[in-house]
Amino acid sequence: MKARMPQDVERLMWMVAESNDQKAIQDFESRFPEFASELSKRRRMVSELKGAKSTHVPDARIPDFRLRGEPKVSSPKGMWVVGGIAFAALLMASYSVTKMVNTPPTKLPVVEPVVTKPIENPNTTVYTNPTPVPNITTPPPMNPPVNPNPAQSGEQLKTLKLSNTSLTAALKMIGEMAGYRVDVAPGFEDQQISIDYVETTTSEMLKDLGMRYGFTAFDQGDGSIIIVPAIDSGTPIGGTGEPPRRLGG
Amino acid sequence: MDRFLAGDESTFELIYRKYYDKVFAIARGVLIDSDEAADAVQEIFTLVYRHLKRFDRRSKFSTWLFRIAVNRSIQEARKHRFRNKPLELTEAMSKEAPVEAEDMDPKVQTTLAKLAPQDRALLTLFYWEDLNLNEIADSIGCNVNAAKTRLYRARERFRAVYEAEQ
Repeated sequence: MKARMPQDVERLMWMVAESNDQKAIQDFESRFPEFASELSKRRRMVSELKGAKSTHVPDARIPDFRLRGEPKVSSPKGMWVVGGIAFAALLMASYSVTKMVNTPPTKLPVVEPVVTKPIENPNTTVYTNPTPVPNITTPPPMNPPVNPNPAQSGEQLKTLKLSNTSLTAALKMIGEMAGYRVDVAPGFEDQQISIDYVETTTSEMLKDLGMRYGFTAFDQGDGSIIIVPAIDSGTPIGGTGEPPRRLGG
Repeated sequence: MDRFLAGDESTFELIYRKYYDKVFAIARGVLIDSDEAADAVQEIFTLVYRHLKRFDRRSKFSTWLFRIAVNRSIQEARKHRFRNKPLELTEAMSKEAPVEAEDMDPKVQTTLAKLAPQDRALLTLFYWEDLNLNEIADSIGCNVNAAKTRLYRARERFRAVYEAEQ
């Protein structure tokens, strides 16, 4: 195992290696024969390090001196100042962002909820379908009646006058005027009617006809309206006690 | 130098030619690459030209000059340290020798490249410029004891890398 070299011997060895004095080398090797190889290694290292110095540059090969612009010497003081400013800016940005994130949103004025009572229409007739409806566990999605509030929907007002026309044809015409396809559900009883609507919206026409002839128009949401005949009230739907679908009219 | 300070700017060329060798050796020892060293020498003498009037004669002119050379070379080395990758060094060794100097011993070059610029500066001043500890202390701006300790550590780091290269 390699013997650990005392510090004073180490220092002496460096001096001998750097001096390259033959007598000093012999003296060292005779006094510390166990470190002779180490001395040899260090002498070689020092010799190679010293030898790596570039040789003398002949005068002819020295490039002409060209005065340059003032080299940018970044003083340590300047660097500290710039670093300090950058750090302060970072702190400020961090503080601002944290503050912005943690600030609770400004309270909006609380508006008392307005409870509106549905206006009960005593004249509303609830019909029930005479045909038995299969027991449905999941209530089907309710299609909204066609534009229940035409005043808010911005529907165009139309004038339509028909006499002695079939109800189905009249409904299809009304639908086409509003850009809808009208489908009539099975069981719908067609009949001859006469209508005279002046400046009336499509939904109002359908509502009025529904009340008069016992049907409800449902917007299918795909550009079509289905006309469903009204059902008689009093007959429970599927016997489940489920409230009947409210029909327009 | 006195003539230059008296206003004879043409004498600066003499100063430049007299010290070019030594300044180039310091720059090359720190920067390793000859081209970068040659470039740094021009910047060092530009600084000397502009600031010679600040030389207060408390030390030798050469010590003052070496101090500028060491500081400027270390600054340049820090700027270029990410460029001096081992692969590039190997490639550089196989390239044509620069005009100003012969190629350094590859093993010494590789070892020096792995040291910090400050360590390279100390080894350069001690082994290449043969400065004593007082002159080294003046050149790197510290006292003699600090210079001695730093030199010892730099030499040990060089030895550790050098022996690992074998």
